[in-house]
Amino acid sequence: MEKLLKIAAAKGLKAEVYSIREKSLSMNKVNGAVSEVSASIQSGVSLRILKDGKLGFAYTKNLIDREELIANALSSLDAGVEALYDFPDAGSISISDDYDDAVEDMSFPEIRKNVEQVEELYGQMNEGVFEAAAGCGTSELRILNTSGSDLRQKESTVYSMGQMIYPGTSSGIRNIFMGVSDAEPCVSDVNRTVDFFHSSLPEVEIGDSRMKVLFTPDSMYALTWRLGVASSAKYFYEKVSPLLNKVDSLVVSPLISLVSDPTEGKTGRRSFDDEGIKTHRVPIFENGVFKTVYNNLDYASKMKTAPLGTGFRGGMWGGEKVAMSPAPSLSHATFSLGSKSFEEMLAMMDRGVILFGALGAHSGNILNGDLSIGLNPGLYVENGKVVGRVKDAMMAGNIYEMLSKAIAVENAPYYTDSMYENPSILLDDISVVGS
Amino acid sequence: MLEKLKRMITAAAADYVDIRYEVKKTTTISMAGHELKKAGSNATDGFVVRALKDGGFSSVTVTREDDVPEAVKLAVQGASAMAGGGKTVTLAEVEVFEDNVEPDLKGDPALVPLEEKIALLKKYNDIMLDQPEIANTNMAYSEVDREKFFVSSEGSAIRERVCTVSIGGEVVARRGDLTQNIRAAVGGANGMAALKDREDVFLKRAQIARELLDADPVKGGTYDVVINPSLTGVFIHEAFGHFSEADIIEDNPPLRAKMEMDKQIGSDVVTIIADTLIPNQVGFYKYDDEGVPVKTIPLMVNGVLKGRLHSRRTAAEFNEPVTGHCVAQDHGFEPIVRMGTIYLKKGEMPLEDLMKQMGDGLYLCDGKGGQTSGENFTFGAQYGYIVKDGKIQEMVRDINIMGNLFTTMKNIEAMDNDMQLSERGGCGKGQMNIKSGYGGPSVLIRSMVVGGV
Repeated sequence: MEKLLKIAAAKGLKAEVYSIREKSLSMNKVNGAVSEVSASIQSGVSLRILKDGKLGFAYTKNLIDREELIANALSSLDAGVEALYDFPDAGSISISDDYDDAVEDMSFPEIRKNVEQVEELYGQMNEGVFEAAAGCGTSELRILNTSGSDLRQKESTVYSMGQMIYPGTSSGIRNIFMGVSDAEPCVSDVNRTVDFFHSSLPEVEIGDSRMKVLFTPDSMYALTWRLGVASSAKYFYEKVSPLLNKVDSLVVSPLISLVSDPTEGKTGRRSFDDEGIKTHRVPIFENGVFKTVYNNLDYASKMKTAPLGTGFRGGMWGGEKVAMSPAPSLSHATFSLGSKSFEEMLAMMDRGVILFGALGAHSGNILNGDLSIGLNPGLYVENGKVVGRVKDAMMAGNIYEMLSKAIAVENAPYYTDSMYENPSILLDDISVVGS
Repeated sequence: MLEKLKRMITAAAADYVDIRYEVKKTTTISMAGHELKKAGSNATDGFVVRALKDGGFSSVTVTREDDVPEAVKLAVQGASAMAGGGKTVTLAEVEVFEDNVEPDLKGDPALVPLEEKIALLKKYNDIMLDQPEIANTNMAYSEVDREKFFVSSEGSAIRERVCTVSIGGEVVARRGDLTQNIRAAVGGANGMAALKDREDVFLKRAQIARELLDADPVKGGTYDVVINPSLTGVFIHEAFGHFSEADIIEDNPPLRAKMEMDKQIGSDVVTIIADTLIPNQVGFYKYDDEGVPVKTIPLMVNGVLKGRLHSRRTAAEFNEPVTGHCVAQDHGFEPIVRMGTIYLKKGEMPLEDLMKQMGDGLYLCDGKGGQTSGENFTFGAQYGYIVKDGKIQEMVRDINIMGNLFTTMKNIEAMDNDMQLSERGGCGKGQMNIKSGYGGPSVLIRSMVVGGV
């Protein structure tokens, strides 16, 4: 990497080299039988160069021919992509590695033990399908630039998952457990899932009406996706965000706070973003008030503001990190905890649905905040008790209107597919359309 | 390269091993409004090793050639860890092939300079931005050129190049606080010809985005609907297509029972074909990533289930013929069962007769993404119209539909005589497949749940 930087500097270029190496192992079991075993060792290098206010970008998985990578970046530079920023000198950033060496050496037999531990907790299922999975992953990231930054961060993750799938469907409810060194399952969480599963086995037709909807962490991305798009500097710069001119305005219920803080959490903390900017707490919505337009180096320079450490590679559809340019990202954002336990929130539901999965959250006018999703599954609640699961139903609305009707936020967070935990949020008076 | 791959797996202590090496060259140019955001060409490569041992099956992906011995070792270890764990994997027997396949390109994108591609993207982008009330665009030129080498311990040795190009993205109209967006895309697997002289497509999309500013949100409820060819494609892909992928239903006995061969699943007007071999279509390839030649599969004929899409593993599990539908996103992924091109066969009546047959309902146009979960599916329509007494009336927006596969397939009543196939794919079943083509005619479906906003 140093050689690559030297070659670029010798050509009179400002340069940044981003490199990543990731290793993972995973195993899945379905109804007690191992169904999938896989491993991956991936690496890659991405190069950004700046010259005369223009950006060149190139990447490779195998850094065999440095000159070819530079040539690709120079060809990209010639296209004329504007870049009004410089790469940062990170200075002294204190690095917090969430990393355990032992995870790098985990083997398939160890992963299998973790899967079996999950299976044991859920016990025997008489109806439906039970899926158990476990795995581990490590990553080593390095960002080096001609402004003097040389940042490295390592992380490790161990996870396990149990999912109970309703008979004749692919729809289920689940628990995910995660940690830096191990993924100790929480027995009370598992027991609640098992109880919910059994009480929600009957299918219920609910017709069209308005009712309470409890968004669980597994369906929360349908909300954060829309809030994230609207509060991104990209859409402010392009003047198409529905939140234009609404900074410091109350836009949703005061119960709602959404904060990007990569330095917090039990796993996957980051001391710098993917451009080498120091990360810190960035309130996006605080007590219902829209507070911050988050950015990356590019949009910070365009909008003449400071970069906030929210420039990350990746997106809602995944993809190779080295192949993607850093963009404004809320990948580390979570909703702040509220004051109610899950049981208290359930007791507040005279009639409603607990949303454990959102089908089609990527459809609709995301920028405008519109949401129209299948309840998959939606557990039907009457008088604070789960009495079944709704059949063929959708909920719809605009998230700003919906989140203005938040009446409770849970006081505990849970893991989902991402490495960050979220609480559940209870919304009132939501349109549900059933068969 | 094929000889080198053979040597890499020779010593593997397994019942079966295969290795795939792939070089993936991509050119990406993106624009946000008038601003060029990204432009450049890159190449990546990597290896995927799979091993079968004592009934266990495992896969490992690695980037560096130096890591291949470790990958072979890990794959065998993984297979051993699975062996005796309850499920015994066998691979369906297949013919051994040695082949070298080049795509039939009308204008090889690899030979077109970057500046020319930027100019083409800018031209279409400007057409949209020049329309009134168009506030922004997010458009991209995408070229993915994969050179795949596959070798198996059974003796197959295949090189195939597949090349996909597209220009697409979204156009955003804005009036006051209201924004509306519409997708626009052209492309295919037959080279630059698919991208040229397509100005009319982009002009029309910008006009629709603007018209949406005057449309009201659709009211949620249950409607009779006619869906246009684009939406039919999304529907067939999401609702039925995924269910015809064997790995989706493999471990779910009730779903397998519902999808038994020769069962009447749909109404008797419904015939669905998986035909990845249609020339020039975005889904086109000759061999899948297990070295199996892809076959045209009638999945449903007159409502009766007649076929299913398979990998070698699922074909053996179901005791059905292999189909050549085991495909990976790229060198970073193991192959899984995927659709290539899938379509619903057209009918004989013109669209206006189809509308008359519906009477009152909604005419829904152009897919906006969809998702499936077992027998339930959802998909969005980019825009639609209220239909009264067979006549198209005012435009409506914010349309999402949900349904149950089995109920909906039986509620299909008729289709028109104009079939169209998608020009760009994109299916995210665990990994992205840009070669998922789909289409069909306009289709009349009774009693669909529409979410509205």
